[in-house]
Amino acid sequence: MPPPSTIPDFDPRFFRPCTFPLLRELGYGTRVSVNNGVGPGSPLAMPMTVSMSVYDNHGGLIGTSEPFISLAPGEIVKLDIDAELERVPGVPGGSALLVMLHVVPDKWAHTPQVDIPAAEMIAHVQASDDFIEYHQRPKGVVTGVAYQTGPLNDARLSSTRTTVCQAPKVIVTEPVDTLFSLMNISTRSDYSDIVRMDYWILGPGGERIVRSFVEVPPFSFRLVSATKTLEEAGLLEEYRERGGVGMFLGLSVNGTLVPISLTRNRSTGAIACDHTLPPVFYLSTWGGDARRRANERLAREFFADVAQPRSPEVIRS
Amino acid sequence: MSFVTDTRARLADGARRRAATSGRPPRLAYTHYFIETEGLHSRIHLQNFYSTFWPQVHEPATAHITIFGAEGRRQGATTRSLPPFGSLFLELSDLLPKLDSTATEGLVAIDLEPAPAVAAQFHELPDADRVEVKTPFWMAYYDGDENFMYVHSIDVLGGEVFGAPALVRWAMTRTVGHGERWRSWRLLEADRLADLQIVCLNTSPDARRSTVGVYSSDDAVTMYEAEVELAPRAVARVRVPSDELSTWPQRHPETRHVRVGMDPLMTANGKPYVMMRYTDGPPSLHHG
Repeated sequence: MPPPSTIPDFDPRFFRPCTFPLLRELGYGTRVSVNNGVGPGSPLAMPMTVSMSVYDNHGGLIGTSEPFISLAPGEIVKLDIDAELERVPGVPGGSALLVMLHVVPDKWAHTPQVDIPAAEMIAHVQASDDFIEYHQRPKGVVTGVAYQTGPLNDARLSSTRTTVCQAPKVIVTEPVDTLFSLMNISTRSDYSDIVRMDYWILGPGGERIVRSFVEVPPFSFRLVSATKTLEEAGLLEEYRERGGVGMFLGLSVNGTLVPISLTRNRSTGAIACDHTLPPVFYLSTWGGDARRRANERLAREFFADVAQPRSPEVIRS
Repeated sequence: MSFVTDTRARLADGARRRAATSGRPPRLAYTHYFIETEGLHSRIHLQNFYSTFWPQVHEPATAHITIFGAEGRRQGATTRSLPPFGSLFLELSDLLPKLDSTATEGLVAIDLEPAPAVAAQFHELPDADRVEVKTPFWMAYYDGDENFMYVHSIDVLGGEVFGAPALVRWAMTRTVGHGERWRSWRLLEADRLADLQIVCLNTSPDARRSTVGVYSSDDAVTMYEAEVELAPRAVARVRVPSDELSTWPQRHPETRHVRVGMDPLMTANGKPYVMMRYTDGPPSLHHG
């Protein structure tokens, strides 16, 4: 289904969001380079304002700040998110939080609903490679990843809402764990779906080592620890003896999750951070019925005939 | 569009459609920078991605891996078999000696060839006249303390197409475009930088040149700039001199944040890698 040319009654705070988890319970601060990527030479360039919403670990909205910064076309700023949290009253210290920066055209900054031209939205999302940076002081650790969080889990903009996550990025050695951050976000403020991801940790030969699942409430994220998943299955030492590397294979059939891998050295604090790649990076025209059929095949082969795990193996619920 | 141009385009589309639906769509190899010096190591992470699309096929795929040294000279090639849902974790420190290569930096390109039974399923590919099959992979960079950095590949090996009939390959490799002026969307803190290096890659089959530099966030101040000329498939690591870095806070006190830039990118998505370290921190290596 092609997206409509105009999206009616759209909450402009979701026009060009920048969404990321805070990793405060792991001891990291967050800084974000956020931009107004459509430069002054474009007919779609416009000044933007930035405000911020903060969600708790169950997806509850703690609050939304007033617009606190303006971005001219092409402008970029770096925000210390831990300091900016003070703009939202009632934010608890230390707990897991999801943050969404709302980059909104000035003309809609104080409008609750507008008819959004899809071309404008697409142009600004495509130009929005925001850099999310995690740091740990006093060690000087810094890492990060650039990504876009455009239209997601929004039936007005996409008819298919599934996620296949294939990431050959599991590393579990004595000091190192790999965490998969899974965000469940939407461009609808009334979005309320809990998205479930079933996943396997596979060995290098494709062998199925352990299966589990995680459920992610709307406007929240969960961290899946490969070490903990293997440990709870009693397979951690065996996996390490076989090299300690492999693939995370996940499937969600009831929604889109944004997966980010975090490979973390628990001794030094260093953390590698990168996103996975959607199917079109492999097969450039993938989508539609072909994608639906492939997901059904994957579900049959990998997730249908196996007993459900005892409980979601995540580092927190 | 003229009749001749229109006819040529329709013939080209038809050739690509027939190639794809008969199991021979054009395949493009993705590339990555590798480093085995400066205390860093590189490890290829690649999965048999065909499995997630056609899990019913139980035949292995074949990874064709080609290595180029920093000057662009081809060091050699090797293949690895990836079982269904299997992954390859290949240390460059293991591979380079097997190719009799003494390169400590360079370019690696990988094309994953599907099993025949997978190719037989390609009739299912949407928009067969446009489809491209690509092999993105990750490079894990790490030091002796197991501090890891991950980067996903973003640029393909220009001028090479695999798998498709000769006519399609010829049509798709006649020219490799240049990129545009580029500025990173990542801001670095100027006063905390202890090391900053910019790794430029020329993934095209032609010699190319560019200007690489470090700029204030509003582009008004050039903090550092260097000219780079690279042979085909070559790599250059441009290090901002440490005595230069240390003067930035005094010379440009108003510039708290800087960003890397390149003009032009040597290929359409040929963004450089950035190796940097803040004071007392471990190294960090990412796309710019």
